[in-house]
Amino acid sequence: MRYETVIGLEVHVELSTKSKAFCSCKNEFGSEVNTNCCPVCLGYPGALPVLNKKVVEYAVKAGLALNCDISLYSKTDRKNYFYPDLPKAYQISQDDMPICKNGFIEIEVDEEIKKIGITRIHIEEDAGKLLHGAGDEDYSLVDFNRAGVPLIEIVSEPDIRSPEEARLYLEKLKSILEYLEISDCKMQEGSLRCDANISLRPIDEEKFGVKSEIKNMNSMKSLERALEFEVKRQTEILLQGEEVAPETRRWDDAKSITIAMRAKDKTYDYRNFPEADLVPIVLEPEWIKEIKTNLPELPDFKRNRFVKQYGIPKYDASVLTLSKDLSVFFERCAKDYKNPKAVSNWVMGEVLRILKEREQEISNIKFPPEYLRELIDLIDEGLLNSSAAKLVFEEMFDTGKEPKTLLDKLGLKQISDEDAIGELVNEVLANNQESVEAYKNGKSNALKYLVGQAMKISKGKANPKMINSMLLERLED
Amino acid sequence: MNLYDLTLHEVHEKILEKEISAKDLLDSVFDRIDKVEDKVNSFITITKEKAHEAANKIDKKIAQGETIGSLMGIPMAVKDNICTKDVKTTCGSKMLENFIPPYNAEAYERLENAGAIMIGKTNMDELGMGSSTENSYYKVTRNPWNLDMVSGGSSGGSAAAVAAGEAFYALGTDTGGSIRQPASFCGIVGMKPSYGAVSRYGAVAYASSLEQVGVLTKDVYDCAIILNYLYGHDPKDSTSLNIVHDNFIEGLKKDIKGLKIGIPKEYYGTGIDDEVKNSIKTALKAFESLGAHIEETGLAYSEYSLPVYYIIALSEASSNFARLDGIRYGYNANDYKDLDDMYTKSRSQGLGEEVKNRILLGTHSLIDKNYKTHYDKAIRVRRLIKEDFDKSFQKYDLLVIPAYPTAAFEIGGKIKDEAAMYMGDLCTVPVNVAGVPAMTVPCGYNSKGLPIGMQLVGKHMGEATILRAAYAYENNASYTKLKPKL
Amino acid sequence: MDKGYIEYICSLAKLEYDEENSDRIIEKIKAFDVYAEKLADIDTNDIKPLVNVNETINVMREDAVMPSLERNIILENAPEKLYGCIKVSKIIE
Repeated sequence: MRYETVIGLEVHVELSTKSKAFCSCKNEFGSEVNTNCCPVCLGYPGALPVLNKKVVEYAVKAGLALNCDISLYSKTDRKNYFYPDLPKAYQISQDDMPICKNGFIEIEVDEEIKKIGITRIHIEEDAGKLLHGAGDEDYSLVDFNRAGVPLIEIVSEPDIRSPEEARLYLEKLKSILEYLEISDCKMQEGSLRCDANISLRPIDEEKFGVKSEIKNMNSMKSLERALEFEVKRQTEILLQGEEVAPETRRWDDAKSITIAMRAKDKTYDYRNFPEADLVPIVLEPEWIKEIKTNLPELPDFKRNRFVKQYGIPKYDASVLTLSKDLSVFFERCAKDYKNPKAVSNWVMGEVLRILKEREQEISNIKFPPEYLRELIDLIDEGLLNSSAAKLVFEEMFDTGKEPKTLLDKLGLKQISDEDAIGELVNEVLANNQESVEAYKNGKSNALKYLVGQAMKISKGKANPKMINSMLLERLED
Repeated sequence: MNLYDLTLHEVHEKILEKEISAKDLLDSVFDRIDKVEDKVNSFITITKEKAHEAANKIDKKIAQGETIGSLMGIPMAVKDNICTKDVKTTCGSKMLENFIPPYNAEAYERLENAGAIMIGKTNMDELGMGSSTENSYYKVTRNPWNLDMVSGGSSGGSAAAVAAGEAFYALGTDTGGSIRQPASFCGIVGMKPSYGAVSRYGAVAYASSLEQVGVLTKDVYDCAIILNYLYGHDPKDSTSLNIVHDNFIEGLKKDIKGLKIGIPKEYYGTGIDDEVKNSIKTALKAFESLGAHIEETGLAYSEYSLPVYYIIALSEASSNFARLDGIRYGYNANDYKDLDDMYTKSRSQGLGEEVKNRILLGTHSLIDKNYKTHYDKAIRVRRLIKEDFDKSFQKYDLLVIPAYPTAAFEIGGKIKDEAAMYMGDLCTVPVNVAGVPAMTVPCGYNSKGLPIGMQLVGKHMGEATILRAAYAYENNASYTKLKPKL
Repeated sequence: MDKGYIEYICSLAKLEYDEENSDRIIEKIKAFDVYAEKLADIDTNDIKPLVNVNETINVMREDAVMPSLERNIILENAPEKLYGCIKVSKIIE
């Protein structure tokens, strides 16, 4: 029996507003515990919520960018349950009238465009943070700084068919949200959180199988790995003729397995009902239009523009535009430059490599993109060979200094002086008679060796092209 | 004549004339409290020291020649579900016995900013649930007119304090009659404002969509003074209306010639005490003599107001009071085995029987299988009830109904007559369902010497009309001039 | 409507279920339902819900930060606290 994987993702995104969703406390990650709290977000008796306008604007932006219908009328509801991180014992959310509906995201799977449906986007508030000790303490601690931070929840249709597609969907979603500048989208810090519903069904079967809900996936990689694990786990269960339990499971990154969480009643009755302390949100079509007109260029559009404008391959354009910051970096380098592909190679090669190696973000890079452009200029001018350029680049990355300055400082300036090259060539020819003979006997490989020797003596600084041509000249004499 | 027996506007005149100081007033009120509080039990907390500090400041300001506002230096009381900064706010519940809000309710803050002197927090049925103030965790408030009788509720402490001369006026809250019924029992004036007219910020929410903060005063003029301060937009309350209100004093003295008053027959049926009916009949004659037209009318949806009210109020209460979990504030049962046990024990030990029952009924109304027939049904019928009132106010300027079917009943004695019990709810709750303003005005005494009240109900934001009619009536009948003998 | 149901809504409301008291609660709920039943007389299919009698819309505030509470005030009201946090019974996930 072969099975098809069915995945739907629920993504919670913390909006990067200045203040919280329903009160004026600071919306900030990493503040000292319980310092961004007030009677409203602590659920003190008598305190009342007032909706932050920016939250609505951001949610509508997300909806428009994700091709949703924007609801002209929506309202907030209370979702009632007790938990120590939920101060009012209800979460203000949107139940039956979300602010956005019926959207989609396009992802590219095996060179084909695939649409993943978005069921809805709704506004809600985040809960506080529970801190558990590592030891055997008999308590947990609550920090309410996050309580009341605005969230949008983006719910996909069960259109995703593989763990890879799930990752591509989430990468694209993150990319779009970053372009909109409505969230930090940092999975590690929890400003982008993803839960997955995953089930299997026999191929050609229409009915969905029993799904499990997977939580605690803190990176793109762990999302894909957790789902791969889950596909394997569920396949094994089904092949043994058993049934998958409808449960919530937690991804353990270190152990690379999913673990069933303490049995949570899936049928919990949240008693959703209208939030009478707030009033409905009624949007003006004109206002929505205005937001739509002012949306920034989004990744798909930018990718196509890069291909057209810079003549770089579609693959390059996709990689460069997935991150907004990277695309901006590339464009500042490549603007009005004769060989954008060279820039693309540098950005996709050295830049991404070093960022990964040093675990840094492109947004924190020390040098301005124009410096990379200068570096490439130096190569073009023959002042730097590519291996020396890489050394300069690393230094530039670490110090943020101009490449020309570094070139002098490192003494890496390429030797292109004819006399100096001539002396080098003479030295190499004199000390490598065997290779000279070999070349003359038709072994053209010997030339490469000789060039290499010259480079070695010059500590990589000699212009290899000049050495090559001068050696040839002498050998052919 | 004792100072404490005077009205707010009378003592204001004396302060204005420099006849008395804020301290004199405070001394008079605290003397009165010393004398009668043991009998009446109006207060949960008395803030004598703070009050003296505040009065000192006011007296200094007055000495420095600052303009003297109508409330400056005059002692008042606040119902204990209205948050007062740095002063315990218990809501009559063990759950909040030690709760000290770090903020003022907006309604109170407006008065404080105007120089009002708070002397204490008044007793109430726990979390506003009850209509006799017997259901307080702390004490039973007695009726100043007869100590064997209840003061009404849930703002019973506020009503008794004003009637007993312990405060010149008091703030209350009204979810389903909690200002108007105790005002009626204690023979004073009580106003439940239009929904959205007064900020609810800091008033501990029982049923968000039904309740308002209001005021209990010695007479209609005082009420108009306070409303001028209370009304107006508050950006902290999303349901607070952003509209300009009338100056309630200015319109007060205009006559009521041609005023059309409707008498909805549904509110005068079986269960309404004959003495109440007769008092109101006499009052209506007075209105007629003042030039008003009286006409019988009907409010056909009134009978549905009760189930609508209870479903909405208890549903909202079950959610609003879920925050009372003993984690961030409030009562925490020390002895528990796990998280769930902590929640359950803290709430079960911290909340009283009536509250717990009502929370369960509210929970029952909201669960999936009942939502359609209970909560959702109720909020749809609510529209019909509101439209019923709207239609009526196209024809009438005011509706007059009993404030309660009877005068105050005995402490410990439940109302035995089911019809009277039903009518008791009917008299008060439809006004909250429709969100319209209503005021209780004393209109007589029964054979036992207990006060009887009538309600003047106005259209939404029609408080000025209510006040004008009530003021005209009061000057004609002057029932507010009588004092209980304590 | 049985004792199991009362136990269920007690658990939702985080209130202690008291077996002895449950019959009384059943009676109360039954009476309440009879009350609610009255509303079935009215056809509300075409009637829109009314939550706020004023039916106001779009009450929002600007995205501006105002001072929060001092932490010691928050902790003073909390029955149990530790390391600047509010302490609760251990939560097992």
